[in-house]
Amino acid sequence: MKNIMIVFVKLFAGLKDLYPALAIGDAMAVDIPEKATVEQLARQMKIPSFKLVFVNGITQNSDTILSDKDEIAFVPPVGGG
Amino acid sequence: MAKILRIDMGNQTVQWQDVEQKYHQLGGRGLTSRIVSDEVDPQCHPLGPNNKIVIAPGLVSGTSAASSGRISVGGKSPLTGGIKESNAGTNWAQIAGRLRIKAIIIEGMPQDDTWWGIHISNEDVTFFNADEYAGKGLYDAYPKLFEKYGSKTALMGIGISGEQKMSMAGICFSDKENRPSRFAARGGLGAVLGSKHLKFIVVDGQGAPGVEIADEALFKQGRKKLTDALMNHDVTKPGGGLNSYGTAVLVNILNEVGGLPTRNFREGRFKGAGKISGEAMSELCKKRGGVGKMGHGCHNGCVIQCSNVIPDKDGNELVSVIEYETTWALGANCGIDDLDAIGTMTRMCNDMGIDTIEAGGMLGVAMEAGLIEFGDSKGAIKLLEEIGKNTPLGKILGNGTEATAKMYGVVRCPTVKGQSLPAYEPRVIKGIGMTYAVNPMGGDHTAGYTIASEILGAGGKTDPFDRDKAELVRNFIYTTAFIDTSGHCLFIAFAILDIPTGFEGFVEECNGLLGTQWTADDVGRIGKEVIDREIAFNRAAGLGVADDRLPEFMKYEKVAPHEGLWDITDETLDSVLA
Ligand code: SF4
Repeated sequence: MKNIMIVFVKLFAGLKDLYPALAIGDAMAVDIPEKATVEQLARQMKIPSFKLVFVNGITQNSDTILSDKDEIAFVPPVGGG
Repeated sequence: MAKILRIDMGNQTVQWQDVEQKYHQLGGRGLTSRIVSDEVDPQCHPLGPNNKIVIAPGLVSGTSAASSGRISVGGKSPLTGGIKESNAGTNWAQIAGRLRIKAIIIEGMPQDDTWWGIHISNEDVTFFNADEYAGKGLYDAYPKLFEKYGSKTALMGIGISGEQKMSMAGICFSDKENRPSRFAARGGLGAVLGSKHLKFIVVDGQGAPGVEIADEALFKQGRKKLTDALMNHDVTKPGGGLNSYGTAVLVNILNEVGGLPTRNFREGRFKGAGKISGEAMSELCKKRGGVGKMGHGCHNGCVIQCSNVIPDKDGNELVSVIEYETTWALGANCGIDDLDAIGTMTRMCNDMGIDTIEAGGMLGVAMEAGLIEFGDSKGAIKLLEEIGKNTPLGKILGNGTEATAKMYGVVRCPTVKGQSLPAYEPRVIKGIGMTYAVNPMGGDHTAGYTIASEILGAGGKTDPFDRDKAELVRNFIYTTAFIDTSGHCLFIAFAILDIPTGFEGFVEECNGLLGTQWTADDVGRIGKEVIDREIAFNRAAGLGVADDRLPEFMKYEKVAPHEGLWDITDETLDSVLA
């Protein structure tokens, strides 16, 4: 299984409803192909759209290439203060 | 014509005055800060006879403009020693606007110890004795006052903290179901009202003539454009981010970026963040049912509705509202991950008339000092009870984060100009740190909410770690001062930053109301005038550039997980509003 890596994914706000069993704020482990991008991960997880994505706490974008054990958080458009 | 109502607490008399030309095009913060600058000696004691409280609805408050029921309160702050403007969303603002009250100026102080209330209607202004409500909670007083004056009125009041002239005392306005829950919270203005022995102002809108509008057609055109923008933007629309999860949807996000101050700003991530988040509140409302509700509006006519009603275990009302700042202050900042405990403390703060940010900041410092352990929610509730009982310890705590830090020799004291920092870690999100440092209000996020850009990507995403933000911060601070003048809720910013017709509509509304021909440039110009005046007041009050700085510990204590340090130079800070 050399070509597979594991990443940890969090889903915030309405996106969490896609995976009801996932506890709020928790990460789920996801197997993805090596060198997969954020976009590929989103497609694999059937995330229709997102506004922001954080990889290891840093804002990234759809083209970002992921590494093994990365922590990814998808966020739909939200605001506050 | 709208008038200014001048109230002399020295002899309980009132006077209706014409609005001077120079005030015609001002409302909300622009007007309260202007009158404070014109009439209050910057060197006066904030709790002495020469300070004043000025209250003004925004320019469009009381009209049909969406999300525009904001009331602004100004004066010299006992917490910061500088000028203070604090605002809240409430029907009170709309009624005041419809009564054609341009501003209320409260001055003087009575010679005896009587507590007063004031009732303002279209017919007259009367004083009533409020002694029976003194020393009691606002959850006790508000229903009685609404019973007496009718449920169609709106209330402003101070709690025990204000009576005791504590620096964390805010001014409490009623929400649209008449709860004591909407606060002009920051900067201790409740203590100033306490010094004047004024407990309540009731406004009654029956027979009110309504807000005068110079050009109805233009106003309506602007209103429609702005409303459309709010209804279509993903953040502000019905079922959008703010409506579904409230402001506390930010908890998980700020935690993710390592910018959620935890345990008195020791760390940037909190293990229990998920449990105190907006998503958790939404889940709680669904699970417990009863009166629980997300998507609650603080006043009639808010289309965004970011507020909530949090249910207790039996589905009865625990409290309204738990905001992002509140769940952070009383939660992550204290190492507490229990929403029920946070709700209980929020209710106590509402009842005593306390700013929840200052309360959470103070509790974090008290935990730092070893009075109780981080995470000890029962201990935190006991400390808040001390404030209510007005014990010597309660007196110290009730005077806020900086007073508590001083008393207990705590160096890690997260304040600017004496006011507690809000819920964004400045060592990781540099622009908001710059806002905290240089805006005239002290540690305040609403003065220039760069989080919209730095974290949420509204109006174009910027990198939170980027230090070259003087222009971004300046633009946010000036634009905000204008929004706070208009009477709109600051949360319209998400829609007007991203949707050009929304911004256009926002300016057209103001032009329609006043008969002006303002353009986008005037928004920045007017905002700058407001800020320049506030800074001039602060300088005359003795606050210098050395006060425009973050606490020193942030320069030498790194914050995990990004190991961020505060590294913005003094020159950069001084250039922001120069
Ligand atoms: S968006 Fe929230 S804070 Fe603003 S006016 Fe509406 S309910 Fe009040």
